[in-house]
Amino acid sequence: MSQAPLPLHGVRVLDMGQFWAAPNAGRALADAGAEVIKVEACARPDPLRIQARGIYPDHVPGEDHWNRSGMVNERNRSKLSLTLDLSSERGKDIFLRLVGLSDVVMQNYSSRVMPGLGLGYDTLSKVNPQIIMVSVMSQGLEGPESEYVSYGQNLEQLGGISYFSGYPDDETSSVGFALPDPLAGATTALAVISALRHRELTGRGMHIDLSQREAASLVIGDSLVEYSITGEAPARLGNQEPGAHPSECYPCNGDDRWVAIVVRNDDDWARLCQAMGRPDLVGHPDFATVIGRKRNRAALDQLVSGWTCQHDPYQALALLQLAGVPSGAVLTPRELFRDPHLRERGFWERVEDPSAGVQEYYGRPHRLSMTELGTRSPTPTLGQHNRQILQGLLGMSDTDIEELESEGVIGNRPLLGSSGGMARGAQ
Amino acid sequence: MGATVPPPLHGVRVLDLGREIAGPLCARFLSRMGADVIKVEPPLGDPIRRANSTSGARTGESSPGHLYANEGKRSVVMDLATPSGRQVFLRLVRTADIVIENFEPQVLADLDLDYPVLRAANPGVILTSISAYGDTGPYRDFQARELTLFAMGGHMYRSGAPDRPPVRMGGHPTEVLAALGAGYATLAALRMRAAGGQHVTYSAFESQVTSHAQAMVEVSYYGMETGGDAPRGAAGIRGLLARDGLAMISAQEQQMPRLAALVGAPPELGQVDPMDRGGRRGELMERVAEWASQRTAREVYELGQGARVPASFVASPQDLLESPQYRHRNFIREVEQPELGTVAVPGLPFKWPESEVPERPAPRLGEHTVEVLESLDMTRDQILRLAAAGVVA
Repeated sequence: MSQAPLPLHGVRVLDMGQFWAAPNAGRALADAGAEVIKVEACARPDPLRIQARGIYPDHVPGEDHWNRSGMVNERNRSKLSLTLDLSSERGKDIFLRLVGLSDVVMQNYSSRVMPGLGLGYDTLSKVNPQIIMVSVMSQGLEGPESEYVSYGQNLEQLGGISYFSGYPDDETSSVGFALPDPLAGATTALAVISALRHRELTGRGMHIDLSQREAASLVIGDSLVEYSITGEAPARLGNQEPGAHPSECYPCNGDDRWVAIVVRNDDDWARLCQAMGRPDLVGHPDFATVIGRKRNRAALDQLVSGWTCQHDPYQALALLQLAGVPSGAVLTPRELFRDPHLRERGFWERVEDPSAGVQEYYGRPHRLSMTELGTRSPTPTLGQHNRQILQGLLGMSDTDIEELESEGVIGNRPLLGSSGGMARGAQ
Repeated sequence: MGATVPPPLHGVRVLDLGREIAGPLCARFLSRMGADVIKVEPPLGDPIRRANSTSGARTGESSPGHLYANEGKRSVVMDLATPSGRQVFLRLVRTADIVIENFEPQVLADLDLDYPVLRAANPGVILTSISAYGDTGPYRDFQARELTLFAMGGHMYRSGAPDRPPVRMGGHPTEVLAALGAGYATLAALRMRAAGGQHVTYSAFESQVTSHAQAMVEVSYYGMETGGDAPRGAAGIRGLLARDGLAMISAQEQQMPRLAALVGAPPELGQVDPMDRGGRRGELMERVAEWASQRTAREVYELGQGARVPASFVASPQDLLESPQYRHRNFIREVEQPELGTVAVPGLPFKWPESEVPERPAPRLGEHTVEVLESLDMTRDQILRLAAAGVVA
């Protein structure tokens, strides 16, 4: 089948994102055909490049460890890399010339950084009235808490997700991943693509002010609506789906292995009985109705776990799904890596990284029938495309570039003097 | 600045065949971008209308989930399982740019309404199908819920206490992430419209797998023997026990001196090497824990942020509705909902500075059936006949 041009073909993005949320969005745009230039300063590279506890091939940081960081290489695929010292006049000048040739500038520094560099939206839009600037902020650019800084786990608390997470009887329990980052990444990609469309209507660029805390709150949006109606805070439910009994994780054969089962109604109960090979229990007075299953929960749990214990999670899952019971194995990352479903769908992508060697990274959850989205090139090494961009886009000469290198405006190694090589700067 | 230009999806028509959260919420994001979203419901309506609320509050046909996921839409009722209902739907498809659905993958084909059929009716139409596992592969027809997807996606295995069963994240993490991602993919397809319509598919399972910070990278970088092996319960207590609840401070190296000063620790405790997880870092963290235990969670947040240290507290729904920051940004809007009065509904986490989207409450079931069918040039008489046959309502 002949391929249609990629959806974001012809769109140029200056991606100043660091850490996770904004770079994730940049990767989604790059996979969809945008030319995404990851802009970093040698004195302030993406902190994940120079993390002390980073992920390196076989735990070996290596000579150019900043190009071997798994977290950077996973989420900056399909991009180009440019280094630029934005605190220098020449660096600023080059950046603004690139702004003049670009469609989108994305950044997730704390709210003071870009204006502090003299690179706020007002400056950018003077250079290019068509530019779309997307500021992926902790809590937004304006308002009483706009200067507050946070990481993903903070936003899980501040956005209201933590309030509803964990065991109902233990408010200190927690659930383990910084979902606000991927949420903010998906929200950012949505914001960029909506802004590109909006620009077609208005003919003008704009500054999009995105709040990651608000993106986190989308997860519990219905509970906010509910509170506004009832004035009562909805309960923390643990694994309980409202109205479904049981709705829980049950132990499987193996060390700390589990399967999640949700019985929405009496039909699901009949299916579960079938899966367990206990058709005699379908009409059992203690369990046949939701009221009975709720009242006799302890006996029910014993019954179900007595069956699940005999199977490993994948076996239990297969039997449950054969009978049509909503269920899921509690899978580990390693299991996901070799999971037959993901393998058959070609979800994992083999990428030959310039410095980290051949690695497999996840693909993307969305697919378009008209064209194939995929990793177009591995994550570039730091400054890999300096020459290509400065010569190709700005027409600079070899001498110009050598000068910029000797002045330290561009480069291909981090300058780790003052920072001690550690991640810095919350979003 | 006043609203001077139309919002980005002005003039775009979306048919929302979605049910429960992921599909309807995706369509709802597009409605917040100015699209004309028509929710096409079966005679009994989207089951979310009657969903059990988490508090057990009785809200009749207007569950909080419905008000959240369906605001801004019109509702038409059509029985797609009847030949005439299907015909009317295909007429509506001819007027549409986008159709969004989150049935199980086989359902549209069973209704003879899968992508080839829609394309025959309207070559430009984009069909976005959100499903648990995608439209191919051995798990395609697996039954899934929020809990089971959270389990499969690999986040649950390390959550909760080691001596108790794994426990899930609250709210709708898998469905909301899918709704956002599918919204992006749909708008990507819309950019290709000059070349025609297409079928966008989205797997909520795969979006969970892509949302690991490092575990999946570790498996590739360290190998199957040791990669991604953080033990269950590794998440542990992620916070500080303040006087009245949970708070958190997640300071990095450059924030350590400020953190030490904040909690009244000697300055040398702020000079820790962040790689040194025991020793002096532990000493500083003990001081922080003690400091937090004497304050409310809210104070930990405000005082921490005052010192420019990343601090947070577990915000309740009340905290969020009253949040001065959310109010300033008008993130949670007050919507007049007939029969219920004023209801607070969260919007999008970003806006386009020059345009606003008109407010429209979540629709009653079939509230706009007549209006929409009339716009298809059907007469009152035809509509009444369909209604009498139970095809529309």
